[in-house]
Amino acid sequence: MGNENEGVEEFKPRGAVAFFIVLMVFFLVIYFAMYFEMLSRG
Amino acid sequence: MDKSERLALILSGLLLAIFFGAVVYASQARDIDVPTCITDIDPFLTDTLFQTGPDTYELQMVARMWAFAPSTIRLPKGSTVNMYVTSQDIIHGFKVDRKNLNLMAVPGAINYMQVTFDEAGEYMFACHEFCGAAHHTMAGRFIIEDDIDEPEIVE
Repeated sequence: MGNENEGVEEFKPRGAVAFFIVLMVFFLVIYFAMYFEMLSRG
Repeated sequence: MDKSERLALILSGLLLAIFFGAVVYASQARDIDVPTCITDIDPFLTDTLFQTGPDTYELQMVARMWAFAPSTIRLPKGSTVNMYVTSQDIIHGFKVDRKNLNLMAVPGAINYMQVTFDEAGEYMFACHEFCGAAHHTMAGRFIIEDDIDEPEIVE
């Protein structure tokens, strides 16, 4: 009997990772847009 | 643990740390604070403006349906104002345009916040809590000027 994983490519969730990073950048932009507006108002 | 899960956890933790650090920086280094609600002393009944130090003033403001007292305040540029706001009747709001000043005017309590006017100009303020038929007329303004020495309540 051969190895069952032989020839099977290791799964990497590239789409999920990319989406997660985009989501975090989105949060950063929203948060710091309001944050610097607050700082500018003093 | 899967590599992707570890990456997600590390990035999430890093983001929370960045957000928390920004809040600490704003409060400590930039002296930006949240409003304070004072409930253990009886609120003032009349409005007052007086000087407490060089370029520092205390303003006791009374909100009622449908006006602020005082509604027009003239101050020198660079003034720091300790704002105390209360209400004679129902809950009102107090929001100053272009400044970080957003308070509730609550009957039976005093809300406090400090504001500094570094630039000359007019800063409108208005009630932002719906308070009845003439809510939309409940507004006033700070007039900040370069060439005056004494504060003045205009109205």
